Amino acid sequence: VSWRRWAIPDVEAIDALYTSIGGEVWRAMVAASGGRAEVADEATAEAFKRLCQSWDSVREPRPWLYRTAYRLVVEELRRARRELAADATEPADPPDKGVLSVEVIHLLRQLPADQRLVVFLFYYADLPLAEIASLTGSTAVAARIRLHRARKRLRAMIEEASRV
Amino acid sequence: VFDLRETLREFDDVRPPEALRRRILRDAASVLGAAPQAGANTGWPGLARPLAWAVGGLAAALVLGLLVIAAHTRDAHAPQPPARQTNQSHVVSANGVRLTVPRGWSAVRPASDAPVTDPRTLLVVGTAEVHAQASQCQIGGKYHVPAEGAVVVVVGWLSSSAGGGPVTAGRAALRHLTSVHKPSFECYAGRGAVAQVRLGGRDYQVNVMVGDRASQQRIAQALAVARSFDLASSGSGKADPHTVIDVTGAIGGIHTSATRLSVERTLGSGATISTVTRHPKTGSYTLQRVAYPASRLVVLYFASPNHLARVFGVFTRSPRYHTADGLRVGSTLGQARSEPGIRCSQQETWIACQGGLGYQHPLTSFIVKGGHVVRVFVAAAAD
Repeated sequence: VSWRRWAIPDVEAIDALYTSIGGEVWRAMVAASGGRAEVADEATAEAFKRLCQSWDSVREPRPWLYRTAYRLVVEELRRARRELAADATEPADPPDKGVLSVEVIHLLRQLPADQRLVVFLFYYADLPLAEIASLTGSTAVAARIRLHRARKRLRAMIEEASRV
Repeated sequence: VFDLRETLREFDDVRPPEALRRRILRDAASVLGAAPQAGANTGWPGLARPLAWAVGGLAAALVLGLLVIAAHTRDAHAPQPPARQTNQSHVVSANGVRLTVPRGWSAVRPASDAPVTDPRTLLVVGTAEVHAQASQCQIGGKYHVPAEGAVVVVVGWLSSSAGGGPVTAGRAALRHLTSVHKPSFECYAGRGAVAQVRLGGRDYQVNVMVGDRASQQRIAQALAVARSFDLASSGSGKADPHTVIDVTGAIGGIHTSATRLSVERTLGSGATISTVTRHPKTGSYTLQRVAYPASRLVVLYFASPNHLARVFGVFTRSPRYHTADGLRVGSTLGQARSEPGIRCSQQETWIACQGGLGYQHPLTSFIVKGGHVVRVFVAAAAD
C-alpha cells in the first residue's frame, strides 16, 4: 500500500490499508491477548479508528497500528484482571471465540503479553528483531531479551510437564 | 524452537471476522465524514495557508460527497460476506455436483433441456415457490423466480469445452460471484450472475437469478450458494486433480517452483500473511507467505532480485486434499504408514511422514499429532 498516495484520508484508503495489513495486526493481537479474539477485534478496530483521527500525525501506519492495538490489548487485559479481582465469582478466563486450539492458547498464556507478541512476531511472522522492535515500540536489545525470557519460561514449562 | 514454529502455524488458519472490516469502514466513514480535518495535509504545501484551507475545505466537502455516493454504490455492488454456514445448512447434490444451501432453500425439479443436448442442467436449487416453466430460452425464463426469491442453476457440458472461450481450471472463478447485475440472462429481465469453472476436466456454469425485490441478505445467500458449488464426492469416481496431494511435489495442482502468476490464475489472488527479506552473503531473497482462503491453502513464495516469485512450499490443514489412496488431514498414523512412498519418523513432539525423499526432490510431509494427520505440506528442495 502506498500510504502517501492519500493526502486526504478517505474510506477507500482505510479499506486498502486494512486489506493490506489488517489481518496481520489482528492476528498479532490474538497472540498478544493469549487467543482472546474479542480483545483482538476491539483493539484492532479501535486502533484503526484512532488512525483515522490522527491521520496527519502518523508517518508509518503499520508500526503505529501495531503499537496502538497492543497498548489497547494490554489495557483491556489489565481491566479484565481488575474486574476479576473485584469479583471472585467470575470465571478465570473470559469466554472467547475459540479461534485457536487449547494447546496454543495454553502455550501463549504461559507468557506475559509482551513476550507473547515477540514470540509470535519472531517464530510465526519470521520478522527480524529490528523490525519487531519497531512494531512493538522497543529496541532490538529489549526484543531479544523478551524472546530469551519467553524461551526460558517455555523450556521450564516443557521440562515441568515432562517430569509430571 | 522448531516445535514452537510448528505449533504457531495454526495461525495460518486464523482470520479476522468479516464483521471487523465492516466495523472499521463504518468507523472510518463516521470519523472522516463527521470531522473533515481543517488544515489537513491536502497535498498542496506550496499554497498560502488561508488558500490551502479554503481548497482543503472544498476538497473535503467533495470527498464527503463522494463518500456518500460511494457508500450507496458500495452497498449495491460490494462483495457480500458468505451466508453463515449454520447447522441448518445442508448439501443438495445431483448428477455428480453439489451445492450447500441454507434453510428455506431446496432442490427444484429442472426444466427440460430439450432441444439442447449440451450443456445439460445438472442441479437447480431455489427459495420457496421457484419452479420450472416452459421456455425456449437456455437458462433465463425457464424458472419462475418470485420477487423476493432466488434460484441457482448449474449446467454442465458433456463435450470437453464450454465453447464460450477458455475456462480456468479450479473453483477460483466462483469467488467472483459477489454481486448481481442486469441483464445477465436472455429472457430474464432481473438481476443475476454467472461463473464458469472447470472441475475434473469438465466445464460447468453456475447461474444465479434473483427476484426484483430480493433483499441484500437474499442476494448474499444466493451468491454464497453459487460459490459453494463443487463436485459431489460420489461423482464420476475420478479424483478431481484440484484436490489431489501428489507426493512427488504438489497439492491441489499447485507445484513447487510454479510462478505466483500461474498459481493465482488457478486460486485467485491471495492475502499476504507475512513477508521476510533476508540478506545473506550469497544474495538477498524474499519469502512471502500467502493464504488462499477459498482453497484452504497457504503458499510460500521465494523471490530474489533476479527471479520471479515461485512456489517454495504449499501448506494445508484442510481434509479436502488427499493422495490417490485417500491419505489426508484427519487420517490416522496407520494410514500414513501404509501409504506407498511414505516413511514416518518421530520428531520432537510429532511424527513426520514424508514422501518424495531424495536428492533435489520436493518433499511432501504429513505432520501427525495425537495419532492423526494435522497438516500437509510440500516444499521445494533447498540447495
